[in-house]
Amino acid sequence: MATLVLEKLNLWYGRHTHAVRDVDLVVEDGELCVFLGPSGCGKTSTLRMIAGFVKPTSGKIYLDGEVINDLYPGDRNVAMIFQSYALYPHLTVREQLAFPLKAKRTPRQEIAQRVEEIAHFLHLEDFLDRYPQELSAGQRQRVAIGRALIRKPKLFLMDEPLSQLDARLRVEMRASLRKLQQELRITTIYVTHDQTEAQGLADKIMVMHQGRVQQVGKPIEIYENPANLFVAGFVGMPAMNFLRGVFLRGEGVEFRGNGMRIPLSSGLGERVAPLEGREVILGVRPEHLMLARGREENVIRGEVYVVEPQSNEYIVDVKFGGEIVKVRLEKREFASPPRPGEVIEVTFEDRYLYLFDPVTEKRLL
Amino acid sequence: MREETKFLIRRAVFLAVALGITLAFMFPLVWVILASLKTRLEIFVLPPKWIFLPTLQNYRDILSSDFMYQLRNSLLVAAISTGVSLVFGSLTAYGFSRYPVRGSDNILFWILSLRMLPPIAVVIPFYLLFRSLGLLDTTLALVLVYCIFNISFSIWVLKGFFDEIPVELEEAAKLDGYSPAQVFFRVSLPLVRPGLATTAIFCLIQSLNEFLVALTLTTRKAVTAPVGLAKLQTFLGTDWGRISAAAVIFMIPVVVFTIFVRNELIRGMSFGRMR
Amino acid sequence: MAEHIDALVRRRRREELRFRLLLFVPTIVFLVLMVIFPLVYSVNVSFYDYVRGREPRFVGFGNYAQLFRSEQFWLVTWVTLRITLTCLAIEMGLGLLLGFALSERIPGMGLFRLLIFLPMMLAPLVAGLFWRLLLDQTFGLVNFFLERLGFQAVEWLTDPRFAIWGIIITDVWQWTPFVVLLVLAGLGTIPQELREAATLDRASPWMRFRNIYLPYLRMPILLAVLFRSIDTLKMFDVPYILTGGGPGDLTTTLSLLGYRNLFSFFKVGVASAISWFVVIIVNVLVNILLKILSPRKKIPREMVDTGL
Repeated sequence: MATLVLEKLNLWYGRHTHAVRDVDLVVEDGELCVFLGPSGCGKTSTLRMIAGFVKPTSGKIYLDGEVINDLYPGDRNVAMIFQSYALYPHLTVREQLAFPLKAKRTPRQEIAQRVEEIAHFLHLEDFLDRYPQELSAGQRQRVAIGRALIRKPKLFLMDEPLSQLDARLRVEMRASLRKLQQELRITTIYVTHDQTEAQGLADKIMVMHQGRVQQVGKPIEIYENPANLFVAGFVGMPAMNFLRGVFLRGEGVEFRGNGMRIPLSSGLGERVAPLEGREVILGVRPEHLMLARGREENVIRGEVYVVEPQSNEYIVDVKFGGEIVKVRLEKREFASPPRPGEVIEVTFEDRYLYLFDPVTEKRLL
Repeated sequence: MREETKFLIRRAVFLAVALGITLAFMFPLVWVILASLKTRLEIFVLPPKWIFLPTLQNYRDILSSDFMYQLRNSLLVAAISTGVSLVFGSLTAYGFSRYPVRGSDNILFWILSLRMLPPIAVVIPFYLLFRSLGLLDTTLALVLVYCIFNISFSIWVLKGFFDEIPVELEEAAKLDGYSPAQVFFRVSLPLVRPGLATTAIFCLIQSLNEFLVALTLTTRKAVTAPVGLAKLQTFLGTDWGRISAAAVIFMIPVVVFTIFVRNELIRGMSFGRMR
Repeated sequence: MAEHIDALVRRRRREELRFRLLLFVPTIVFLVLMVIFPLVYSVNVSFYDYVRGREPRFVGFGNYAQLFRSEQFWLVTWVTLRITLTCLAIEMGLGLLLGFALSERIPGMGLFRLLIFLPMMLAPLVAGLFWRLLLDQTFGLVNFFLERLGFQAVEWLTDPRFAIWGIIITDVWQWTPFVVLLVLAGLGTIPQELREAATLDRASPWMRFRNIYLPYLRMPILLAVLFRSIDTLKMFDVPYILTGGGPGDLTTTLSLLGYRNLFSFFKVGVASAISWFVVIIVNVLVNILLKILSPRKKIPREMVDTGL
């Protein structure tokens, strides 16, 4: 049961690499917080500072109100699941599970009992005398989880724990990890670059980019209310469409960019009035676009360029002036699949429009 | 098609020549083994006798001679200096692998250059030093000198093995509450067992084969097998049957060791850099 | 609570410090004691004139001067260099040839590969003994075959023209396998696709060698050259057992000369001077070798350290 607080955390590798910049974060007791970002964004470095493998250059790490910056990893009561699982090739599953307890000089009787318990809990009873090389990827992962759980840590750290599994197992393990964490209510930090994983698991997501925190929030907030261009583009599949242009007032307000124009609804027109004449980046998610069916406001009209059929929908690339706009459309909306070259009109509701400053990349609307 | 045949023929000829040379390289070994099984007269017969009734008399003579005592000395010196070197070497190799500090590259190079030190340069001061300490002709003297070579060798080869251990394994153990020393003894060291075996075997072979240091620092009690062989040659002159038998006996451990490390030869012979 | 943490931090720091000391101190102390002291001692010795039964007399660079004036010393240096260069040339050529042949994937090649490596694992002294038997002028097999082929028998170990070749043959026999080993290792690093692409392109053998093999062999060849020259310059065992340095000094190497000065003539100072001459030559080569061996891929300190 623990609260983790990061305060102005900074990490320099040598003199030239500023891996983590001014990270502030509060993770409440029992929360599962995902660090999300592309590789090299500083998420793993932040995790390693929490584990104690690297010492922050400046800033503080509080665990339950105590500064643990200088504490030895083994004194933090933190457990970790590594990307590679870090199972010892020279120990059997039983020995792996007992390994953390032996460090604390737990009586032998108790070790044996706890190993049995955890093996039962994770369905590992039949593999106790095997070596890691003799296990499947899924079993290895369960052993790694078991080794982390067995000493009842305050804080659970997971570094891309699912990345070594194949797609199906990954989805399965994702669900069981979530269930496990909710049952045990252990505060957890989970590092990943996979936003689907983040959306599915997290109570709270911290999006990182170039060492900086971009946004912290509930998964739904991150998705619906991205704080800036990076978060908007990183979260969501396929990524949000971005169009560069300016708002101009004619009969109504319209957005003009590279060989294209979008006439806006009057409601939107009013809201963007302060931005008129200024270059902005307009963002709209592929899943928020729908067939216009005669509507004339917020319409994107263009030629079908590529069609990717999915199981129940089409992902259509629409050639819109000099830009390409991706659109997700349900199959049942079409009598026959859209064909390249066909003209298509799609529209979006006012509330699904996002605007960003092209220079600061901050969200404007 | 014709070109293809020509190419194949050229390749076959090339291979045949090369394999022929390889076999020729084996010839001295075979010849010495044969000589060890011949009587004194048979050895001198020309053209050489390929088929003869082998005799074990040479081996019997050698087995009951001083040479066995010298071989025992050799094995003893090699084993002790290898053991000591592995202890020192694995600790320091791990140190250089995990806690590199500014200038540690230079120290590492200095250590490697010790392995290359010409024995003649080592022998002169040690001869004078051990003479004044009364350590001449002792096993200890040889062990001490061989440790210089073996420690520097072990540090280099073992560092390569330690570098290959994934850091996460050690981090996981640290997180579990093990101290750095415990991590070393319980995780890292068991993981480089194959590396320790390889290093040990190379140290053994190199110590067994050493001649100049042993020749200068020993006279009677602590004489090793190579020195013994050289003396045998001086005393026996042309009794090649017995000399060959002694050489064959001496070769056996080395050949067995070589078979053990055949896949790691490159590592052992080029200090772990070329793989 | 904060004091409790401080105590833990301090305990772990002490623990880590003790461990680091254990890692480095014993070894460094041993090596420094065992190497620095004797070497300094031997430099010192090389500045004195030792005559039996008298106090050593300081002569400064006298021993070196005496050495550099002596014809014998220059002859021996020349002999050592000649052995080194000749061996190097033959071993590299033969080693490349055999290396390429043994890299072919043919069943049974593994055995050949093991066999060829045996000579280099033997004691150089044993190799010398082998060839002393084979090169014997009356009953040696080499002469027997030479005569069969219509050549004249050669007094390998005593003829001034040929004695040095006895040494060279022995070294080539023992150490060509080492070159083969490095060449094989180098060839092993060539990606399979690259070899296949070359076969498909029907590139000429020379082009293939230059563009595909050579880049991968540069490192092994360089290493082989350096290792072999360092070892041959220090050569002692083979001439000691094979020719005893004779006839005259025609097969005496620097190491052998140093040894004889110490044990036959009891000229400790001169022997030390010679040994320092060898150390300096070898050291130049070792330094080149070390430049090449220096690891290019370094683990950043931060990724390794626990930060404690």
